[in-house]
Amino acid sequence: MSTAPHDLRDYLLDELNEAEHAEVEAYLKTSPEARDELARLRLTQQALLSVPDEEIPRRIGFVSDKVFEPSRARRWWNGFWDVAPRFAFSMSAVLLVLFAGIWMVEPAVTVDAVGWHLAFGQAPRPQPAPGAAIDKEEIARLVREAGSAESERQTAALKSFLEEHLGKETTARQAQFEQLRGMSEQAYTILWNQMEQERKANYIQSASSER
Amino acid sequence: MILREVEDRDLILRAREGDVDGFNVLVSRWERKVYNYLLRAVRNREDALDLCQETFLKAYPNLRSLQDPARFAQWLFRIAHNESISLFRKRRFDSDEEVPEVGTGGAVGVAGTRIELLDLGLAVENALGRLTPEQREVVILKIYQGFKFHEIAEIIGSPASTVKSRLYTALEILKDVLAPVAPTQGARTREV
Repeated sequence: MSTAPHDLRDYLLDELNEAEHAEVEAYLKTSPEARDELARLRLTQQALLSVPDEEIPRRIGFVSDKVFEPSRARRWWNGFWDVAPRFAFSMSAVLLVLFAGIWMVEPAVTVDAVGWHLAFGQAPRPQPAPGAAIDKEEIARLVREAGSAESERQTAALKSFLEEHLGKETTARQAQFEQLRGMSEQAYTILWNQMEQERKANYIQSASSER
Repeated sequence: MILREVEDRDLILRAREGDVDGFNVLVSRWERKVYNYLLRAVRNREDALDLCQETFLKAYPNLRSLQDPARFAQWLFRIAHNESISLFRKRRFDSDEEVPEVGTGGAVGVAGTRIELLDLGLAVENALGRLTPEQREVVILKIYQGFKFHEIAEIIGSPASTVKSRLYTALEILKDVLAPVAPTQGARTREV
């Protein structure tokens, strides 16, 4: 008794390819047992198929039933994904053109005392607005004030630092320093007056000799 | 068949756009098949009808998850399968008993015995009742719905080898019960 090349149930259920199907048919011609087994399988299949499908007792209530319709948000979402690829492509194209344009016009932004300046291409230096002449005296005054204020601030800071870190000894030395400076100024004044008197005397003497 | 697949594909695409009428046509085409699959699986008309409605109710908003419209049948039956499994689990949880079966009031034919007062339909029903739910399902999907093994595997979420094994075991049981009483030469008989 030879064995079947393939399962008879696969043959019955149409799960074999054409070549396998032919092999089983050839085998069936030589095997009465296989034919009997196949006959029983066919009877089983026929018995199962003898029970027809039933008609559905009630049609599925789907037609025009609002409950089955997608919500507005759902429709919008579905629609969005339908157009999303086109939208993305369009936006990409727009952005590409925008960036290309920016690259071509070479924008430049500068900031000065007057304000913001946007220029394209080779950006020139910002020029003062016509009529806005520079007031040199005003500038000099501002510089002086700034310097004076800064000097006062630094002096106060130094004094504060010295008082804090060097204490009374420093204060005493500072007083000595101030005293010496006063004496120097007095000596300087005396010397200066003597020089002036000598200069005047020499002048008078030279004038009288010329006469 | 190819034409129908093309038409189904068109209807699916329309339904995806929110065309309810397009989906209604799909429902009218498939409701009978889905209902009979569920009827043979759960063996109760009311349950089958409820599950059928649930199946389409879930199918419509999820049509977008169907990657390939050509696989609509497997996808739809997969939903129906899940619905029937949910019912079985619920019934098991509720009563902790077997699911009641319709028309099981008569004698069951066994191999080599006479089938009295039972027509072939009842014999088939009883024979199917001898199967486990898993075996019965693969028989329904193969014999009545005509799916291939790999398609059944996709529907029930099991390997094709498991599908094949369940079906062969089921066929052996069914053959023992039904082959002796099955009609021969196209005529219905009640005797072996």
